[in-house]
Amino acid sequence: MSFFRRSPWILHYDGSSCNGCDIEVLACLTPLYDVERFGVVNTGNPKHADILLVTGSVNERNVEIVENLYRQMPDPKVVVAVGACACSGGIFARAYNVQGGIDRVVPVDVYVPGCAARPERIIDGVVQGIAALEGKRAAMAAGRRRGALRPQSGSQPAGAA
Amino acid sequence: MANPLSLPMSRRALRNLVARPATRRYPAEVRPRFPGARGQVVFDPSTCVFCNLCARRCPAAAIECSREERSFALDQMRCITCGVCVEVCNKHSLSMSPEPRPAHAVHDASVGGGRPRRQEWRLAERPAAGAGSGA
Amino acid sequence: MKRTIVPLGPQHPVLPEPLVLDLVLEDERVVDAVPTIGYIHRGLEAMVEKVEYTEMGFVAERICGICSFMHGMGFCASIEDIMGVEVPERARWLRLVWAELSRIQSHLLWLGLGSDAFGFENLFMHCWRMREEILDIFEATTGGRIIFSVNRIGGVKRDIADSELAGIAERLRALGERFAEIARVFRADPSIHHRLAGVGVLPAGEALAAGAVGPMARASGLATDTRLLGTHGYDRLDFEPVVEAGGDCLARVLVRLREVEQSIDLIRQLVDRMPKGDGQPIETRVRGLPDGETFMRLEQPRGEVVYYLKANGTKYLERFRARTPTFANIPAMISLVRGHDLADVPNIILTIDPCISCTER
Repeated sequence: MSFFRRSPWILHYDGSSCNGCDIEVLACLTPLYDVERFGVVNTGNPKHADILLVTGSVNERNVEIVENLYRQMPDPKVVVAVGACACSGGIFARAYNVQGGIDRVVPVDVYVPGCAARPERIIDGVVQGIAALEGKRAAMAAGRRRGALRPQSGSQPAGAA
Repeated sequence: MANPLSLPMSRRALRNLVARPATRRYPAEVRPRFPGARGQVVFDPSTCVFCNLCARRCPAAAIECSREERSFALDQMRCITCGVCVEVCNKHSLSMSPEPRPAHAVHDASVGGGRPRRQEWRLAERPAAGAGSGA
Repeated sequence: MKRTIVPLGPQHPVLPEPLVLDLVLEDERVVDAVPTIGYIHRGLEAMVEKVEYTEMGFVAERICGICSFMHGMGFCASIEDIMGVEVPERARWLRLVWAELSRIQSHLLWLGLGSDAFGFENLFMHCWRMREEILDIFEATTGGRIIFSVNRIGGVKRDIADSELAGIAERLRALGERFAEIARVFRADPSIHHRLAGVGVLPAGEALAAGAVGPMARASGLATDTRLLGTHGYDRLDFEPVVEAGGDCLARVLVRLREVEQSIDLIRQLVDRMPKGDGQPIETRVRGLPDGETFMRLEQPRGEVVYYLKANGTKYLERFRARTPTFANIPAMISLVRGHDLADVPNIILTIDPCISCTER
């Protein structure tokens, strides 16, 4: 896995999860799975983070927390939804206080299904998230270069990046 | 200074130095699944009679099944693999596979869209075995 | 002196869960703490209106991912109580095996999180490495690592073969030897004692007045353990409640250490005393609809949980309530935090083993 150019840092937020996926995310850090092999570090500071890992669904109360964390993260950033609740609301989709999956409020790049999501699949999800992150970074760099070449053009083809 | 060998962790640390690493090198080596693990629900459209029993009993309401349209849909993002549908299915169309569902990357990520929602089967007439799966 | 309010959470490096406390500080000293809840509230209890009672056990299991087995067991036992269902002998023993396994799992998890909070990351890794072995046993016997979905009304879904049970007892014996090494670190390491001894002292009288339950109460010298009531089949086992007199953070660690050892011993007893023979019935077929109400008490890893169920003769229950242990421990936690330094707060909060998703459901 040495082909990743940077070490992505993860910000983990527990939405209204039951703790199951939450604990599995932590289990990824432990000796058996050890995501630090890939340079992945679990940070508590949104300004340091590249990947937002959300477990659990969105409810009335934590909508603004999720939005707030996402807004504070610097670009490029990737959101990974871990577990059935984060993907779609899961078993709690019909509960009165649950609005649904994380994609109701922030754009999600990788979905990791399962109840609870297995550590192997969480690692897969993070690895796919890193690939998405590289894509976004390349797109941003291309956008910057083009902007520098033609500063006042204003008629760039949309979506070329 | 204290003798480092008398510290409580030191024996354990020394043993870990010479022992095999505990880490499973996951993407390179995949551990075999436990035979009874609840990984994902697998649907076999060839035997289903669309009786709707699984959809009624599913606690997560992840299954949509219609007898009139002869359709069956399973929201893999919502399923909690409790195994109720597998138990109630009289025709054994549903089974539990120990392999967990793969993580799913979406390339056009945006709010409220792009979620790989569900697998759908729509059968006009009784097909041959193995036909008619969709994403 | 000027007062400041420092919000703790909902996203905090020490706590994986969104516990929100507004800490009122005078200089560095905490004078009050105001908990705010609702960040993880899902409305789980109201789902009885939408999910039939036969499947509600799967929802009840997801009250909490750490003690999920106990929640499922409590719910199923409550329905069995209302309907007067006799659970087969084998199923009752198996439930106890899984219940004690989940106690070991939960305490190892907590010992890891706790040592991470007081800055002993090495120990965190060791505890969680041992916990994975318990999860392997769970996955082999139930099919899930975290959420087991093995309870059902009238019994259990899967049987564990006798040979497998003997294997589990043997693996736990080996685990116990390695655990003893780790327990020695917790008991003897001077840095752990510096951080925890004398911090957050809860006297027995205060623990009783605040209604503390579980390891929190037992660390203050109260010998309360719902298992001693002998319900759910605990009357067939020999054990003494684990009690420490200190009442401080260290005592709460020691209680959990000894409870892991106790649970390993209980599983050995269970495997020895269980009626042998494969192919015994593991579930009673349940017919009809429940009508009536019941209270059910159960000792979870974090303390006593109380369920209240009311059924009205339809397939949807009328009411389902759970009083979870963390909810009972929060008043004691608030009184503990007062008067301590801000830097001690994460340690004190963690030693009550808070489970916010249990509390808010």
